[in-house]
Amino acid sequence: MDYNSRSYKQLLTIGTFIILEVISIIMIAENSILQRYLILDGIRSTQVFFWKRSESVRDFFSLRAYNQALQEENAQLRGKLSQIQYLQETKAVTDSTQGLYTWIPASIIKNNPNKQHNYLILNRGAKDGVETEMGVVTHNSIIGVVGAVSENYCYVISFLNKSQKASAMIAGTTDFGLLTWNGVDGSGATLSHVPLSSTAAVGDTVCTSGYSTIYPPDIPVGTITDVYAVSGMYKDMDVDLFQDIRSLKYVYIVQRHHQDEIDELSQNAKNIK
Amino acid sequence: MPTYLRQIIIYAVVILMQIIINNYVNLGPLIYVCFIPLLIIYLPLDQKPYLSLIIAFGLGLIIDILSDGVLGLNAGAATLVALVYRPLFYPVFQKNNYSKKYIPPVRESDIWHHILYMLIILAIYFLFYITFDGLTKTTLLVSGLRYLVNIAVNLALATIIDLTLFNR
Repeated sequence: MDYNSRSYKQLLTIGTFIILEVISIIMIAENSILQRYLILDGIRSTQVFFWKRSESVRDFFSLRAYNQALQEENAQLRGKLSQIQYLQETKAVTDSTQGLYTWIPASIIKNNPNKQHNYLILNRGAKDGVETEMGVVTHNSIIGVVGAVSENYCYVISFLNKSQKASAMIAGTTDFGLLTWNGVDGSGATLSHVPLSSTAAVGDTVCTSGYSTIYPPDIPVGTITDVYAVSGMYKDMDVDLFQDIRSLKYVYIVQRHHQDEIDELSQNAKNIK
Repeated sequence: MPTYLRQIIIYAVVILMQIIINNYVNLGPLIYVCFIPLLIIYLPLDQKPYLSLIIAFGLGLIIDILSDGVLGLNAGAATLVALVYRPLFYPVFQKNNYSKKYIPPVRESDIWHHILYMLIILAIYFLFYITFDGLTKTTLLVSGLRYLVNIAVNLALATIIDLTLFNR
């Protein structure tokens, strides 16, 4: 073969191009950001050192907003506490879901909310009892799902990912659907596949349904800004989220009790089919 | 300073700029700042094509690893641009530039040739990038909007860098 011929050079170029593109596409398909996190775990531990410091600077300039958010949350918790105390005193506690979740407070070490594939790093890890597939929430928003855990930190796949879905319902009704980020701005989401019979209107509150084992029920996440029918089959709704994830500092990792039992039950149910 | 050394320093500065902008500047989820296409069009035109492909792939992979994104996205888009930047050069620029080793500086050609060339290159780059970044997961409208916004923003930024760093 003549290695200087034009056809050989063209063949070499096309061959190289195809090989490199195939490698790229395999990487795109196989390497989600979660896998990349696992691969680059060593690099991450060094990056965490710098993130902590840069976040400290950000914290300093955001203290007023954090304090206000904490005060509001405190007020809500105090309200709930007094309700529970009242119910306990009157022996009226009949809610079987009480004590179903453990809430692990965590602060954000790294927050990356301005892309199509967003994630967070929290300062809680395996030694704090954090496991993968746990939900991360605040008092008025769903933040994401724990994707990977190291000894001291965990990696959260943010709700601001097009691949993330959460089961949500319209407060005060039994109408539920799938909540996904709209991919355009940090406070926009879409509640899809809501039954056509739903009477939800603009201004109604959307909250978590609790139908998945990741997020607890009844966390208000946003308000409906638009309702429209899709294909005459169901309704989709635009939702304005309450919480701007970019301004977050403190979150809760939610551990659902009896998770293994639920998983085993689901597996058994599949086997019956 | 030798030309190749100057070029390496400029490439390093531009890559650093891109990493800082993408990691520390909040431009919203729609906009992705990317200077890789600009770096590719300044690769030598007389270089072996397969070498350009490998260099472009490497540049893209560096950005994929150091920015927070999906591994392979920039690498794939950069490789595609490296395949077409040379054939596209000849129709866009004048015939008297055909023998050039590098893309001719603005003072020798015309700023509009640079802008047109960059526009075509960016259009190809973001076609790959946005398609593989989740066309199936987002609506066509959002993807289309992302495509147009990114071409416009990156064309403006690339022109500024072209004039200030590469054409000093």
